[in-house]
Amino acid sequence: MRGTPISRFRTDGPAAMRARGVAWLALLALAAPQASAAPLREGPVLWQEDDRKNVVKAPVERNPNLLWTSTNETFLRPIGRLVNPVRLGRRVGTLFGGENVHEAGDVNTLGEVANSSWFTNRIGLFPLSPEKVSLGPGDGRGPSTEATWTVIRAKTQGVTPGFDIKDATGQVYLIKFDPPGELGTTSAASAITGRIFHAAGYNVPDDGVVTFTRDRLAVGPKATIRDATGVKRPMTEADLDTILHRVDRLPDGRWLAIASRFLDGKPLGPFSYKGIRKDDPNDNLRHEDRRELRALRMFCAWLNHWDMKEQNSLDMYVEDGGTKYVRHHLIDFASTLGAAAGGGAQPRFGQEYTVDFPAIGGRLFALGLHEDAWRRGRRPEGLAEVGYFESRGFQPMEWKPLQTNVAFANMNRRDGYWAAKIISAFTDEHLRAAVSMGRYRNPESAAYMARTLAERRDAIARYWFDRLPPLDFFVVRGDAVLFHDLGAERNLYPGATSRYRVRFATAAPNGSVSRWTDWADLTKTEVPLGSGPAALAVKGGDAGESSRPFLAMDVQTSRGNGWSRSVRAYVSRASGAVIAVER
Amino acid sequence: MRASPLVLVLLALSLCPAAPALARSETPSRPDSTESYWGPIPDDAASRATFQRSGPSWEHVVLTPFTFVTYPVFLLTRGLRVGLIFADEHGVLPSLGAALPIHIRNVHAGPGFTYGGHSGFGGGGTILVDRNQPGSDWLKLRYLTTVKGMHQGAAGLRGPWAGGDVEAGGGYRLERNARFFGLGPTSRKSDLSYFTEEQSWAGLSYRRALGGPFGSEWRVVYTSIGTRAPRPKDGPALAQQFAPAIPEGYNQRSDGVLSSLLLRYDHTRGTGRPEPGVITQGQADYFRPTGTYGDAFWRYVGEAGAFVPLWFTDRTLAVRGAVSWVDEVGTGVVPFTRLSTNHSGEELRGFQNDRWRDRGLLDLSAEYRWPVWAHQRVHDVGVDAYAFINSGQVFREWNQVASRLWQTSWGGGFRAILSDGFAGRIEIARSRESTQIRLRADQMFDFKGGLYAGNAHIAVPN
Repeated sequence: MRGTPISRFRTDGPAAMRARGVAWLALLALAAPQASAAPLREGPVLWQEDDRKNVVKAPVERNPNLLWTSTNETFLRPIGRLVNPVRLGRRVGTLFGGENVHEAGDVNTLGEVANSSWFTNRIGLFPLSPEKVSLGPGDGRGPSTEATWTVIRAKTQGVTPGFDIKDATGQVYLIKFDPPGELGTTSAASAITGRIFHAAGYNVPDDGVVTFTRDRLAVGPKATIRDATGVKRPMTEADLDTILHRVDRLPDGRWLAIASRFLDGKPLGPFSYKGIRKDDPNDNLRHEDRRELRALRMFCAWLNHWDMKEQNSLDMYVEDGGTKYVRHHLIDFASTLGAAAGGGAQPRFGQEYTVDFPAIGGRLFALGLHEDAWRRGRRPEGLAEVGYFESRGFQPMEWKPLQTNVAFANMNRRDGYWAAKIISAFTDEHLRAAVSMGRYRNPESAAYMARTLAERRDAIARYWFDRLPPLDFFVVRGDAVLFHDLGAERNLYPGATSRYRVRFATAAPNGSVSRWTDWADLTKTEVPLGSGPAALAVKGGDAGESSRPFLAMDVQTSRGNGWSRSVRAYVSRASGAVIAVER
Repeated sequence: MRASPLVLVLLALSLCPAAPALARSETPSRPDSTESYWGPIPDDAASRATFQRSGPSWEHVVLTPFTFVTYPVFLLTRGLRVGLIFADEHGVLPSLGAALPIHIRNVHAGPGFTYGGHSGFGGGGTILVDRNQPGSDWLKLRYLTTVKGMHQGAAGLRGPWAGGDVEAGGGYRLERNARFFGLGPTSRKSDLSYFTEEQSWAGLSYRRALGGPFGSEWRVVYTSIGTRAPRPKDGPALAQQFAPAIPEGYNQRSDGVLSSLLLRYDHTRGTGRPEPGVITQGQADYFRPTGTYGDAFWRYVGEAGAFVPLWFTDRTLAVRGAVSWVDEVGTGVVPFTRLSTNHSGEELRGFQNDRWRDRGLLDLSAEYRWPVWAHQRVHDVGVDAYAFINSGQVFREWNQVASRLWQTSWGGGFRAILSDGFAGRIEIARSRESTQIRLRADQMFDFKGGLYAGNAHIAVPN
């Protein structure tokens, strides 16, 4: 193609108009789905994020102002996202099949999140017994009952009082009570949600439901209390009695509470869902680009964790085998599963932001002729320990926390699929095991909770598996590639017969492929490499192994309503290992 | 395609995907030591990497000019952040949220704002003295002034007595740009004229529940209303515009005692979002002049309304009908300032205050309310939207009531409901003549504001 000399380049005229058109199309095309952004390479898959290097000096403790973070998340950041030209461009690009946001930055070539100080792969990648799920991050036993618990600190402000205790082993626990009239709600929610998050892979404290009598407690000699006026003074037994008198008791006179074991290390305050912690040298990837934080949106939708402000997270400066680094935790799960930490759970929680402009505008222009579904929300009849938590009408992508979250706003389809993969890994037995740690007094409450969690789990899984086919875990065994159909394995499409088909091509490191073979039907989730279309691709490839060292394998599934999108796995022709998966 | 290669090259360079975010190791993998659905998960240096920024370069190219252009907005938000945090940490904000943020023992004070009507935007202050309990205030002092020359001050006392509540109050109001359009349902907007109106009052009222939904109120108020020429800049003056037929009472002072008896039936609950129910009120006033001008007259006021729950939660139709009638005693003279007029923002809302004036006023209103925002739960703190239609007329004689003379206005607005009930509304009302925007702290059937509240139209009904 002959170009136009620079000296004769004009800003008007047909040539310039065509150039502008090319530029716009290029911009749109870049927002459209791309082949693998990173080149394909032989080599180990990355499974560990190197973010636990020694940090000599502890970062400064963060103490974000709640009013500012609420104002920022409710008003300013949503407006910023609305007018952001990149997001606007990507929104247009979604019409052409593109993604609404760029890919997460902590994902390996198989689409998995690397283990890090933020997340450790557990139930999503490994078989996990229900017992292990029920143990959570600790041993599941809570404070030692070998001796009395020594109260070391107390607070009386707020709706729910609490105090810190030290048990016989020297472990410190925060004891928190359910709000008045809501005995068993927030304590169960804390215990159950903590275990689910831990099994999923997040760092969480060890929360457990405990019951105790008055003689289990003794005020320590150096115990202090901050009274209603905020003044700190030595604590007395009478102070403890006053606290206990304010909270509800079980029918047999015992108290029921959540005991949350203090996390190891030095607290550094919450992490932000945006940006990085500048004084942590291990924190290099913007938090809103971390898949585990983006996809947290789906976990929170599942568990109705509506109170997702950054103050419900905690960074700890820990020491692990002589290395000091910052570990990132999610904390405080009392406002989940339909409960509310301060009492007064509402059906609106999980349905709208505190100030939800689209919803307000919709109601305004609908002139009140449409009723929001949450206005008809009811607690389950006769189950006082369960809040507003149901599966009826649950739409995963319609769920909203009270406060917008910048990482949640960055969730794309692959992030959502990844979350669905982990969520669907929880079997009914896993859920019953987690729910059992809520220690519901009414077995109907436990049954209801387990059932509702299962139904919401399936809703999330079906939502994402309908959009991105759940063909996963491609491994080479002998002379075949085996994969899992998570939709079929996890019984998400009962009654449907799953069919598969595959085609092959050879692929270059830049992702370009040779001519595809024809689609070949599969009778099971196993694809032979030495024969069939794989062999045809190798044989018919127009380049040798050196220039096209990989085999690209497209797999599709059908449940009786047409073929799905392809999931593409790349197999190294040299090592015979799966080196990348695209969906 | 004959586009410039330079353009394409620059485009390609600027839009190239970023270098891979992963710093990958070149060393070969070691044998696996952990088995997952993917196979063994190694924990060696080869499988470890540092992740850094994510996102293609073109995003940064697009964002850079955007960031530059919006930098002033960013600085503003940083300023807002500093200010908000300072205010929160120093306890400024909780006091701002209170209607009366200044507290010295049992004395509370705070600013007040008003907007709407021809008085325009204004402000002032309120001082309350209570008995150290919320809602136990017994002395109220208020002052308001507006940009268009309205000044109003009032003082009120109240306390329990004989099973009811006694209120004593007095006040003074000066309106420099009061308006007169003529009398009757056919008065014209083009006949707008100005005058200065000066009112003062002092009186006593006794309010008592009669059992069940019934209540009563007795009131004796000395009132004085005087009119004179407007400010030079407000024209045309009333005397000039209506030279051949100056209305009765202009340039005069009407002094007298207004004795009132009011009976009320109120079957509603709450003030924020009244429950379904009916509310009616009848009032009879007798004015006896004490000065040299004007004669005695009777005044009758009736209003009735209902709140009708509709489909879904908190959808309500509020309907109201009101009538007032001034009946001279014999052939007596009633100053025009004591005739019925649309002054309160409840009658004929799409018209200016005091646009319509005559012996009688009839008004019908229907207002549809629905919730648009709930803070947490239904029937609680939130904002409701409403749309209304309002129709009525003034008349000299009852046989003048005719549909061809009716005036209609329509509009809508928002009502704020706080935990202790209705807090205020902002409304836009439109008629064939004008569009009125009002910011008000009262609402239909808001009978709380009596002498104690210093409401001039309660003290000097017209």
